[in-house]
Amino acid sequence: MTLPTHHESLRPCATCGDARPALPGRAHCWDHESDKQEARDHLLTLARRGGLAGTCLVGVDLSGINLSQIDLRGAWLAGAELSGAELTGARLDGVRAEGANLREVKAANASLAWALLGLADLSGGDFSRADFSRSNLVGAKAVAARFDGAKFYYARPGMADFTRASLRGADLTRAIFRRANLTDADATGHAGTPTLDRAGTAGAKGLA
Amino acid sequence: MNLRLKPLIVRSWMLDQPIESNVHLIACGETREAAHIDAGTFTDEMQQEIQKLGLKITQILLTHTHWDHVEALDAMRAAHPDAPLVASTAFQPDVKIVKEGDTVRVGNLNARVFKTSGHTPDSITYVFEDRVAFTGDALFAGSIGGTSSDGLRAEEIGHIREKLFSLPDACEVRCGHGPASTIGVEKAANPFFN
Repeated sequence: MTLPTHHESLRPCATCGDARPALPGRAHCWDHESDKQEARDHLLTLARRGGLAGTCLVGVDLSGINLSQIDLRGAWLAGAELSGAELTGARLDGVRAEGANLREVKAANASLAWALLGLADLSGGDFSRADFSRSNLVGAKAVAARFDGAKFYYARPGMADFTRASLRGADLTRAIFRRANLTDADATGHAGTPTLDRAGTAGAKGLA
Repeated sequence: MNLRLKPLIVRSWMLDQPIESNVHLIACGETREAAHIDAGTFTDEMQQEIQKLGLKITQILLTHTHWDHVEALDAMRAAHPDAPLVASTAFQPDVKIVKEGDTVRVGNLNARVFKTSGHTPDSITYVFEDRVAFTGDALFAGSIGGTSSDGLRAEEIGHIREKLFSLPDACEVRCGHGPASTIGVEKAANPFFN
């Protein structure tokens, strides 16, 4: 896996200068877009043409829109609002999405290998059979999220909150749940041996 | 966020088993001068990427000298014979030594050098433009480098807390092993600091 940087070819926002980069094909960052609906439509058009991979989308609001099967590999989505978005089968490998809101997304079969999802909120989302191999989930929130059959090979969910999450049949090989909260999580039938150093597992199923 | 938008290019090659160490590259987008960070491997794929991007490797920077970070150093140096080798210890005769407070320049990019010992006595971190920190085995996503005593662990934690955690939250962390992170994520939720 080759991971690019998340800030190549950045152009400064016309309003805030170097403080934030402009969105792809636009003059402003999300915060300074005067017509956010038009900006959303523009980004959706770009997405459907495969033009959002590796772009800077910091702080964008793409909540509720259909991005299934879209290629967002290596995009910079820090603080982005994606709640309720349809991301089934989307390619999100290597995204940088710290602090993003992914609540209630539908992301079954999505690919998130090497994704930086620290402090992101994945609560209530459906990530069945998604690939989180070697992803950074440090401090992420995934309350009642569904990860059935997902791959967490060597993922880093330290201090993440997986309360009531469903991890049935997930591959947890070498995943590091150090001080994570897995209270009432269901990992029945999971594969592999995760690190559970000081993790909270009260009421959890399938975890020793 | 307060980025300074000097164009820079970063690539990280994440190795599969058995080594699983990362090799990084940073390049100045203006001059196309570049540096490798660590040398755990050196593959055709890496050379092709350097060629494709039109880069010239002008330095090889080491975060520390454990075998899994220098395994391919000879091959890397053979491919880039004019590129000086930079490290914090004279483990080979022609090493350019850097220490805490020094600046390393790659094209128009400047890196500050921080001593982040603990995992090894020679561990250093290169911080480019306050935007990308190459931490070697000092700081990982959700973890820190292994140490052989409580005292060394305290030393490592102290370096990270005092130096790396004073960097901007948006500064990306490229580690010696495992996925990337940011200073903000590690400050907020790394189990060794919270």
